Amino acid sequence: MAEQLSDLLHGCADTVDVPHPDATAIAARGRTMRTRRRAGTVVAAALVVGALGLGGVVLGNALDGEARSSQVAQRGEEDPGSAAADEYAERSAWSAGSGVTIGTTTVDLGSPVAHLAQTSSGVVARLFQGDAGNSFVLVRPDGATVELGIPSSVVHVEGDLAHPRVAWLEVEGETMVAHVWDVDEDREVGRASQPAQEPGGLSGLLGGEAIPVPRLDGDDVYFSVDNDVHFRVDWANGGATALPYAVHSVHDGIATALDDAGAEDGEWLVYDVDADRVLRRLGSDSIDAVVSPDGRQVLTLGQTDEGSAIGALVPVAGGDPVPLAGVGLVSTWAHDGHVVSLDGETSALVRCDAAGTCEREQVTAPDRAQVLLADQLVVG
Amino acid sequence: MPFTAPRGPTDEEFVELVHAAWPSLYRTAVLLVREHALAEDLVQTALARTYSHWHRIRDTGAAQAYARRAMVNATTSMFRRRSFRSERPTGQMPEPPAREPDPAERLDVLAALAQLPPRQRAVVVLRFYEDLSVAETAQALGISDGTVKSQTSDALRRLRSLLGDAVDLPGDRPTTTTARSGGSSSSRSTATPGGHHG
Repeated sequence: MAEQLSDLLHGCADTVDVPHPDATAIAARGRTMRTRRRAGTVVAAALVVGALGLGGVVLGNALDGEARSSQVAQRGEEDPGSAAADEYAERSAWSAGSGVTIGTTTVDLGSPVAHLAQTSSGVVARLFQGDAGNSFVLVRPDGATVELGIPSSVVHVEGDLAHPRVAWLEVEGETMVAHVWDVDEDREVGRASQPAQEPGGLSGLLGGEAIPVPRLDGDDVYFSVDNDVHFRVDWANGGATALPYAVHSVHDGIATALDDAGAEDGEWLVYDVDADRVLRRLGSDSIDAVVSPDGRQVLTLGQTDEGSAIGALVPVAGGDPVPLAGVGLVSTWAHDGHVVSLDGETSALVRCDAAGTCEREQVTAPDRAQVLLADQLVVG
Repeated sequence: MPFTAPRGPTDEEFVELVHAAWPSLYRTAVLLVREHALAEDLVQTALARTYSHWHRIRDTGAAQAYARRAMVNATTSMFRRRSFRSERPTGQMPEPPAREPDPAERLDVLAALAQLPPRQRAVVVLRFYEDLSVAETAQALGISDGTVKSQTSDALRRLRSLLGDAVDLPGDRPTTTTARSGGSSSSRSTATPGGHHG
């Protein structure tokens, strides 16, 4: 008589000798994981504070000064919109207090800037308005501002460098919903949702130590519904793919992720999401790994034992990393493929190209504690 | 009935969870990876991950399900990483169990199971060993109900070709039987592809 599959599986497994668990050791390992996860969540904030504390990065006034205005005016005579867009593409954006500098143009938004998200149309500034929540303002490269209709309850938005869109996550019941907002049209253009399965509810994700952060890459939005369940969702048509890793950074379908499954000291991996394969392994020394706008390089950032920043550009397709001299731990990608960094030790704005050639510019700011570089997440 | 803790369960309750969940998780892991040492590490990892969320857990009854999901996901991630490194699970059983009621048959089933892609293997183990419904399996794996059904169908088709007529696989004929769930006994209808409990 034929055996049932269930009976056979139980016959195989139920007779296995089971070793005794060491609950104390498992709990200790769990504590390590929790510490590591929290460290990962707040690493961006630590980077900002740390870099500022090192040497006093000061930005703003110099970039707001007459020389800067003159430069903008001169280029403006040729083609103001194009010139400003070029400056934004080359220099990214940052804020100091309520002032936002995009490219070489500075505007005052009237309230302290809590975050800047880069998009193809400009940066979206989140302004903290006290009990009124947040407001969101699009700052275009020419300095024009548009107050966006993004709900004031939204905690954090992520931008898409190649498109005029931002995204954010919200928990609705037992569902994690990613909202996609077109900043040119100032309206929601799509949303994607997945069941959120965290035991004990999801309050901890929003009300506790972590802010859920999506990643936006064209028609795809990436997000996790808890520490182990990750998705890539086409926000226009809803098609979802479960991923075995949490996307940390993604452009053009090339993603970085920290492979921490089963390990306390995870390794950075570069994935081709479409092909579902690893393109490159980056080791575990870096504390950040961010994909370039064209998906061809990864900016890795780390620290020496003495606390000095180490930056490098790692070609996704292979080859030796290109060291970046003088970049700080607070760095971001500009549209044109330059790495823009704040060097805390010399109070300089540093721009590095793909060959590793870096230019430096001395800068000052009225309140260094409030300086933010675009796409740097500050939490806590 | 699940215990509801107002401020998260205690460490003592975590120890209770470890001892209660360990045997079932370990046996499931053995079915998934065949290697006992690896199975032990995967279960430890899953429970450690559960502990890392312990302060947020309000329902200790759900914690075991969470641990199982973490373990299955860690397993599929592990196989995915191995495939990236051009490594494959071996065809040999590294550590045979202590008691073998029917070694030839047991090896055949385990060997056949090992021939399945990791996700299909997980679907088969969760549905026909853990006795989970389609919806529960989908939730555990973070995939849709439809994917569970199609993966189940594909897996059973593959197993049927590997095991032949020696095994009565769901879908061969309608029947009713008694199966165990995670080591305990419970009555249920035999599953059919895409239709078990769901």
